[in-house]
Amino acid sequence: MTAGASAIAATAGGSLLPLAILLPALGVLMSLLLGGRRAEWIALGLMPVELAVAIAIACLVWRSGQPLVYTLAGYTPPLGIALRADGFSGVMLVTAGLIAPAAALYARTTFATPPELTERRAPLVFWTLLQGIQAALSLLFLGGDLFNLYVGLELLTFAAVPLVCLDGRPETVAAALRYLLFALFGSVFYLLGVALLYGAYGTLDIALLAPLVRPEPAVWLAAGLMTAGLLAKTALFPLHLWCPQRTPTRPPRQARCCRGWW
Amino acid sequence: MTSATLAGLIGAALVGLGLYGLIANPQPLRKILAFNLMGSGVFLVFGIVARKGAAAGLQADPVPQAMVITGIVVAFAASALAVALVLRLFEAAGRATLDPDAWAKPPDGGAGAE
Repeated sequence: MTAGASAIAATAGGSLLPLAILLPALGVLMSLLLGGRRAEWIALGLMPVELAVAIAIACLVWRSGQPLVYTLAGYTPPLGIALRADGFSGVMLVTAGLIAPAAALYARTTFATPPELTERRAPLVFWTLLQGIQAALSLLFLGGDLFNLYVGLELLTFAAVPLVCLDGRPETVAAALRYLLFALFGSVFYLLGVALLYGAYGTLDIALLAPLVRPEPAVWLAAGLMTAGLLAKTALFPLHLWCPQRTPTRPPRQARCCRGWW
Repeated sequence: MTSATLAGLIGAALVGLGLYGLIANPQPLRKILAFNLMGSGVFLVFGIVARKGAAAGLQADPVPQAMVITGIVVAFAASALAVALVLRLFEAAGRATLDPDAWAKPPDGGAGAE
């Protein structure tokens, strides 16, 4: 269990991990509080900082060759929740950190607040939820606990769905509703898989679960349910039914943001 | 049959009913209700898992109960978002249908059927 023990203890540099999640979450709160044009400034101002944090995490993982671990509030798994960054998480964080400012710069003309207004609904929602998507993605890349990942998936859905129907036309609202229902179906399946795994092994921490899992019916069922749920969420064949209707009715700039991430 | 087995079967039945409703019902509001039924089934399964106390040999494991509370909050938020979208859709179009073909026709072109 030495490998397991090293995977659940906090490591040096681990305190960067919550920062990657908290920075965009702080941006969301500040955008809601300050509102109007400031939401755009906050989003554009925080993105380089978030990218720097992502690059720092990736460099630390690269240099040490070990995953970075942070235990929330100092409680170690199985009772506590760990954030973990390995090489893959580092690469994905940097990728997301690069895509977000690119999409933001591209969408800037569409979602600029007109100079004569102090606030407009669509730009405010766009800039706020863009940061919400980043917070959810960071949580997904860093979460070390299956239930924590479920919460991250739901956050991502809740941030993405309003972006689909920003223009408020009935077609896009219907598309957003259709996507939301599909995503909820997927997340319930995922959650059922999580419940089965917890029932079988008594932990949801991925590093603790890895040595315990044996090929048995509960695991096959859980893996099947979670895979089917995630397939529905990402619109992979054969669960892509919600996708084709959505694409042509969407403004291209939002579509670009969302496609890059899914 | 022990009470845990019975509760497990009821949980499975709720998930099954909810899944059928989510797929077979065309009305968005019924789909939302069906999603909540599915969620209730999953929470019931979590409750039985808590009773097993798999983690530390406790009488009742509190961790799944904490997860159920979080799950209920998430499901409530999801339902609220979905209902808000249905209301918005009805406001904007005068009907709330998910049929993509209906949007290709004019609003009063006889496409109002669910």
